Amino acid sequence: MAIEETPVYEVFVQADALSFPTHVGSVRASSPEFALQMAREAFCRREAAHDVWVARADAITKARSDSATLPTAGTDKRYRMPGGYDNAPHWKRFKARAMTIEEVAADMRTKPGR
Amino acid sequence: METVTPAHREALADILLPIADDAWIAGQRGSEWLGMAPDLEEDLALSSISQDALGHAQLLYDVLAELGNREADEQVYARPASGWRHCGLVQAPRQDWADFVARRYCYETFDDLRLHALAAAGHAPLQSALAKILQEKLYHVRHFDTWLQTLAWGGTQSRARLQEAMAGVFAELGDLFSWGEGASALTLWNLTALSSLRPLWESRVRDRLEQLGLEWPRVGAKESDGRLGEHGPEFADLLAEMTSVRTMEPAGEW
Repeated sequence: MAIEETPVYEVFVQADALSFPTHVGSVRASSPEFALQMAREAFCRREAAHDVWVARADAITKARSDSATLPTAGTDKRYRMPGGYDNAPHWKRFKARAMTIEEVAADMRTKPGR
Repeated sequence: METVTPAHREALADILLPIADDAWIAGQRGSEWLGMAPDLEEDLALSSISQDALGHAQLLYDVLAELGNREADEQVYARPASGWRHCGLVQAPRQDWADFVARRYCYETFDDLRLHALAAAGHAPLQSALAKILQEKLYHVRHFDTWLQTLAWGGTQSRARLQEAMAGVFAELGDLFSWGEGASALTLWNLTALSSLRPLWESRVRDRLEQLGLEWPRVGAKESDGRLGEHGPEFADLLAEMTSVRTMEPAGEW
């Protein structure tokens, strides 16, 4: 298999069990097993990882190739943002007093955030 | 720590030197592929594996040093050619990629069996070194096995070259299985299993070649025994290159 025919695999490294696998780059390899071995060498030479994923680049469907699904910000979507609900004072009290979640709810009913 | 008699110490050197020297020479020869491997990815992978191999040798030299043998640096830079105990399989100069894959597949498979058998030696520093080595060895075996498979299924030309390379490598296997002067040392350390690794190796490799549809080539007879320090003229060149920097300033601090 010539170099230009060797498939590209995208490499995702999961640093620890609680992190999301993060795209770190790509390797060329003639099989998924080789892709894992090469990914280990190219991206994990110095540090251990919880897991490594490889996926053939041509198996990934990209929104850019189908513009209808590409997330755009044409109209104002501010109303979908979580701003405007200021729960910080409630959480502060919750932490300070180690309240139960039921107490926080009762607290919110009696003292609205703003 | 268990009591180690002078006889045990000497015996362990007879047992560990061939293993350490195989690893060192394999690492040295592997590093000669830097920039020459089939692709950039393999360049990285093989460099890393070569560094690991040199590291394995160092761990074993350190075990020996602790028992009163010379230090790792002295082992590598101050030993005459006749004092080395590696086999012909790892010493061969760089030829083509198929040859290297066949060669290293044979060596890694054997070394893996050998290191596992070494686990029966009751010597704590050795066991701690082995635990580290075996972890990486697993990956080295896998890497060359994946290459073997890739070349075997890589098309007519690839398969033919691999088969031809395998025949050449098998003809040079001779002293891989030899223990030279170390044969009697094995008994002292309760390691007689190490002298009967050949059938295990043959059955593992035979199964693999069969799965890949490759022929089992003829194993060559032993011509010179690296385990007795017989390495042929090419080793003089290799040793000269390995020690060239060091000999510029032998007494210097490195």
